[in-house]
Amino acid sequence: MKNKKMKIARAESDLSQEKLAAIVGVTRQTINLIEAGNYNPSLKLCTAICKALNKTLDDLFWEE
Amino acid sequence: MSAEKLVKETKWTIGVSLVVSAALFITWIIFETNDLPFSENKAFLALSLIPLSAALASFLKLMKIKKNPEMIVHETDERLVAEKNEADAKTLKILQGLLFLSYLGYTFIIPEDTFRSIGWWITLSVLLFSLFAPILFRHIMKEI
Repeated sequence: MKNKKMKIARAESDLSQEKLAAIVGVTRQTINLIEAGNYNPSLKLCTAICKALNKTLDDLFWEE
Repeated sequence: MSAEKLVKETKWTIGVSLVVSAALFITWIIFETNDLPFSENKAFLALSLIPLSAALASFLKLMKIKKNPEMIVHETDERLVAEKNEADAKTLKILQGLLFLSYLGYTFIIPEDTFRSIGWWITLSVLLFSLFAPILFRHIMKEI
């Protein structure tokens, strides 16, 4: 399932996939796959993404 | 895997490979200079090239990372590391199968070598190592 919340939060922070990837220490492809819902990140990576985007885990990764 | 751990592991690989390569090369020199009888001295020289190549490849990888630190993300990205580990695990399974077939073939085709020839014992040892080493490493990593 696509992670639209993460994509929106990234756009709000004015970060490209590449910049976000550089901040959290992964490749751009990994960020792309997470947003497309084709990769399940570890809790560590989820937390790093939340910190980079200034959001909580619920904001970005909770499924409604 | 963190960047520091990756660099440390690469340096260890280079060190160990160079030591093994040097040991084989020195063995060849000793056999050649002292004219000691051995089946084929040149085999030591040839074998020393393999760990030397491994050391060179690791060294080039380290230089590439130092020159362009962003490259390190390709070694530390959790998704890529997981993909690499999965590929390594599948390769190990295939190699275990091939080792088993080699051992089986050797034992059936040359039964007189069973328990006698060093080649048979080496084949058996490598097969057993490939079967038990993953369990051993898992136990060691749990302790660390």
